[in-house]
Amino acid sequence: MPRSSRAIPASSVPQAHKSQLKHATRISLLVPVWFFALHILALVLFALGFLLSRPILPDIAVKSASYSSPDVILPRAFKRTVVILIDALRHDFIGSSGDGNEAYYLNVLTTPLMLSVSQPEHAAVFKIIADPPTTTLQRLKALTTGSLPTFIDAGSNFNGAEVTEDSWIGQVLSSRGDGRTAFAGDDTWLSLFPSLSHGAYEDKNLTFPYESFNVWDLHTVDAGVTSHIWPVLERRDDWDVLIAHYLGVDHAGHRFGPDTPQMKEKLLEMDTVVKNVVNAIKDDDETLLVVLGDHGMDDKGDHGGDSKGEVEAGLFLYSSRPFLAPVDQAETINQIDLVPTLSFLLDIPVPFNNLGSPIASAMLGPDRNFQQLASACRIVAEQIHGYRSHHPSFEGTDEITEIYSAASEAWNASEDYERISELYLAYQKQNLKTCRERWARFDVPSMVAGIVVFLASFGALGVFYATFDDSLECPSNYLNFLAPKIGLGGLTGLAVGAGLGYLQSRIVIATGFGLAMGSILGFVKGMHRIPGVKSPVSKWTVLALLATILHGILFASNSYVVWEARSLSFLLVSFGFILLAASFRLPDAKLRATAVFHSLVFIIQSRVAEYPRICREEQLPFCTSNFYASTASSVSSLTALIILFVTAVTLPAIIRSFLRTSASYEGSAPLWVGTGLRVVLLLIGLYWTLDYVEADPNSQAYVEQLKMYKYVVSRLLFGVTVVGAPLAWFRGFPLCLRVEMANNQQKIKQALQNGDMDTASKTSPVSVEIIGFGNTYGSLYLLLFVSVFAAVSLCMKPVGGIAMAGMVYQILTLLELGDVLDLFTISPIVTPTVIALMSTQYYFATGHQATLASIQWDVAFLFTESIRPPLTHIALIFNTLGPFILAGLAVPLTVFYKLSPSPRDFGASEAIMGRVVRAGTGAMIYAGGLALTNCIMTVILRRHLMVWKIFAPRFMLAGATVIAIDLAIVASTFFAGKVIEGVYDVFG
Amino acid sequence: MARIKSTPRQIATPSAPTSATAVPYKPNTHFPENVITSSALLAFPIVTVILSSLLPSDPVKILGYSLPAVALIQAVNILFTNPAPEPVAKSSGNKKKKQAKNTMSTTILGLVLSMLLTPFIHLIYVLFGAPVTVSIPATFLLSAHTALLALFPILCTYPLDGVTWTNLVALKAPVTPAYTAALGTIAGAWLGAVPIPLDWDREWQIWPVTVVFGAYVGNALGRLVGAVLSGKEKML
Repeated sequence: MPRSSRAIPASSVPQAHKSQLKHATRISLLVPVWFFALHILALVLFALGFLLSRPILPDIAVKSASYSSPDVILPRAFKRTVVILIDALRHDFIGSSGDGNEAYYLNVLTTPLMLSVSQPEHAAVFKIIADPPTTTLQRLKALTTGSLPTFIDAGSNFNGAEVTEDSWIGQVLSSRGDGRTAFAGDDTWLSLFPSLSHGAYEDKNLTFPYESFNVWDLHTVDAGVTSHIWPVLERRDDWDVLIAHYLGVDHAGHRFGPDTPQMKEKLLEMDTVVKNVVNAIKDDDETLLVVLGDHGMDDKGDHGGDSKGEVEAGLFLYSSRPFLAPVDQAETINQIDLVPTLSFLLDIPVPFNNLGSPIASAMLGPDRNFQQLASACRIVAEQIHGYRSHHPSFEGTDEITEIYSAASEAWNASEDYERISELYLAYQKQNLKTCRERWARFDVPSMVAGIVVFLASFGALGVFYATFDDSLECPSNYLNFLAPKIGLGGLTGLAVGAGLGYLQSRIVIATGFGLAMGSILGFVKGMHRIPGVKSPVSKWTVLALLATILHGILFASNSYVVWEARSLSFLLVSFGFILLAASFRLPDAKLRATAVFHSLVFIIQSRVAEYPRICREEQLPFCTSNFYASTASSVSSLTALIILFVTAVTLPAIIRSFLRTSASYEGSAPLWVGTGLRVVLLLIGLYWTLDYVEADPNSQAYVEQLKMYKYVVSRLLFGVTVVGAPLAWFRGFPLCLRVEMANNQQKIKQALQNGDMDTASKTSPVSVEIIGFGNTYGSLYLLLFVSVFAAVSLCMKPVGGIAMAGMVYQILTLLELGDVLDLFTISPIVTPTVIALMSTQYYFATGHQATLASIQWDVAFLFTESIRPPLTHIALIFNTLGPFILAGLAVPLTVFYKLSPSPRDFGASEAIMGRVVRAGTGAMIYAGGLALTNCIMTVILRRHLMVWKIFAPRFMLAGATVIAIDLAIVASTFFAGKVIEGVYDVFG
Repeated sequence: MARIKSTPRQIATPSAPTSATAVPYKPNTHFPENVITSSALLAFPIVTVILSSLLPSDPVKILGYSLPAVALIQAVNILFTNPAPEPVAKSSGNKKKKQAKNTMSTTILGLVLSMLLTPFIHLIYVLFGAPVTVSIPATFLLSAHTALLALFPILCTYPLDGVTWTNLVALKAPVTPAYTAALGTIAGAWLGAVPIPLDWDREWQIWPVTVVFGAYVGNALGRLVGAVLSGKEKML
């Protein structure tokens, strides 16, 4: 169709119909809004159970007055501590003698147990219970701060893992002086405590970090640590704390498993290390040796969860000075109990956030002095009490505070120190129990509630989608009928949920769950009254659901989550080949050629979209980043800039070529796309050129000017794309049409000459032709879409901007294919689904990954030098979620593309609104289905080794995806309503 | 190409899309044909097992060395299983000889053409995500094997005209073992890519072992399905 035109006479629009249409477009918004609310409720319910968070207090402890109280006697402190951390040292590796040689790991690392039996006042073995998550990073935090780290420590910054809480390491450094530490082993320590690296002797460094990444390498780290600690041990006046972190046992567990000869070999090596260290400090009664595991391992040698083997780690204390009250062999303590114990033994204040209790035998000392234990317990209880009164999450736990008061009274009143200790310990245990309940457990009922709401809303979406049959396309009638049912159901559910939740003291979860399920039940009840029409399910619809399922299945394995971008490219290319096969079925040769061409373009686009990337850690070494000039910088390459300029010139031409297929490059289109968009894109290129020049070391002299120019350009662009263009679109309603007067005298004459009286009489002498009529809706909406694209592009790095331009091109390709292959009517869900699928692909192409670290924080300063609420947030949201926003906004195009108005047909306009809503539910089925499968997989894999590194961030991305797509669908439904109303105003 | 087009219709009958009764392939009672068919059905599982057990050690070498053997098996298979000339009762011995000769030349041309189309298949693999700059020999040999498995029999069975090939790509062509074997090869190769990203660190996960395996298994299954279903008018 080179030119689509239609002759119509002008008419006036009846006001009644106009307001009725307005009502229809308004009430249509209820559908996406309701499903958005359901998805939010489901996400919140799930996240409440899954993403445990704990606010961190930044306070640093100081020694309280109690330390100097005359009643307080504390055990004698050591000058030095050697901490040997053997990663994944399970308790039975050192603590169990076993009765035979049944397992490789038993009776190998025997030095600790032998010493504790032969010298019970010098050495002891404990079973320490680690709190899940049993991952090294979380455990190290717990072992140094005495708290219960969760996945997200609110208050910590996402960019670095640095411990900002009070810790015994920090206390040692501040009381003994920076640099009094020596370190060898897993470099995680240095990211937690960067100041550990200051340890030095004269000009010799005492820090020897090793990468912990390669799990298959059993020996490099251990051999390095061992070779470094001997010289350090000899130079004992140069440090107060020596930390040696061995990884071999953990790696042997991951690689081979615990019950293997490799493990035995590793444990033998560790036994030698322990034996040698004990020998090295035998003559030194000022040194304390602590050997411990940060966590255990399960039968397969993995860890991360909360099974018995994973949480039970071993602890061994030794000194050549008698300092222990002899204990029972397998005494069980909490892992964090080490923190207050070490604090007393190193003579430093107990860290502010500590939740552990002092280890009794170390406090009692060899002469079993209960006053020492009671003093230590009192100081720790005081510290915990101080922490509790600062911490917001302890409201309503007065009964615990009462134990504290009782214990303090007993301290003041009596000298029965054994009883006082017991009271204080009871207080500490009770407090720890509450904290565990509040922070460190997955709340499975809450997670399941979230999944149930997702599932139910998925079903409701399906019903909604299926009901929008042709016979029911006029949505306002039955939305008028359904809305009160949904509302009433929601309110009833809210009340019932709140009531039941109050009884079970789960009020938040029950209320949310009640609200969501109540509204769905109300919807189901209402749907019963609506006559269902069964229409056959198209193969394309099956394909759309299959795509959703295939994408969802990727969440079942950490490998597919890591390689998701490539997997999605694979899926999209496959879909492209299906489009190609379908194109070959077209009977018309010309259409077939068009479809084949666009299918091939679609395939190539899907492949190319996989190319721009920033690799995540887990992809190395099979992945090379190409988003920036080099892997070590965050400046874009010159090539990227050049391509960005090329895109700025070509993309408007590409959009023009698509508009021209329906003769819609008329009216406002040349100005909006040909000039406006091109200038904006060129200016974005200019901004990044300035940025590139600024980063060049040769231009240091002009940095200030360059910065200023950059802000001028970026703010101007912000004004134009985020504020100006949408406003102009709303006010000006830029139809892409051209009106042409045609003189038909000639035609009539010819008809008369031919004797064709019928034609002659029907042809009016002058007619009005509207060029671009065949795509009235599509071209108008496309202009708005293009302006949002420009705004999103502005907030992207150069390669991201190129990727976004690619996304627009691919969406247009898909729309053209949808038109030629008639997909929009055969299966209204397939195109929205594929567009939504593409959005995740382009999320990766814009330099993101499913990790928190991949958020491009630096775009926060795109428009301002400091953080300014709306600008900074818009920049970050557009940068991170831009592809999802664009995908959601593109969905109405699957209805509008090449759609011409039916003049004076009010019903048709309303039906178009119905189709827009239906397409929107199609995209929401994908987004909701993806979030649903993600939640299910996350629940199943919540004990997986990689849950915090891979699955939890992916869950957060899925949550952000569903929110962004849903919100964009709400917005696009609103804009689509405006388009329909406006077009009706003109042609109605 | 023109020469292939001019090969006698008898050899190329199966493609005639209009004739619903034209059974393109039918396991008939001819003694040698039956033996060859069943041995061909058997041959590929055996090749698959051998290839897959040898491949991980050095895929390029094994794929390269096995290529002529696979070509030979396929050629023999095509020579003997391609539709027997229509039972023309009065055909003289001379005519039969001529037809046999034509079958031979078709097979050779098909082999040459499928080898010439290997770069095209290579491109398709790249589009699906195969490495662009590295492992080129491996991908190319994979493409050559795919061409032998999927394209070679089709090139010998169907005439090279636009309508037929449009229908083939559109999945509208009538079912023949050659066609289902090709579709099976494609599906198998597609599924073969699935285990590659898994972090199991198995030697068979290296490119392109799983895809070769998938293609061969898919080919064998497709052939089987084709033998059962052949005669049906349309696939999808």
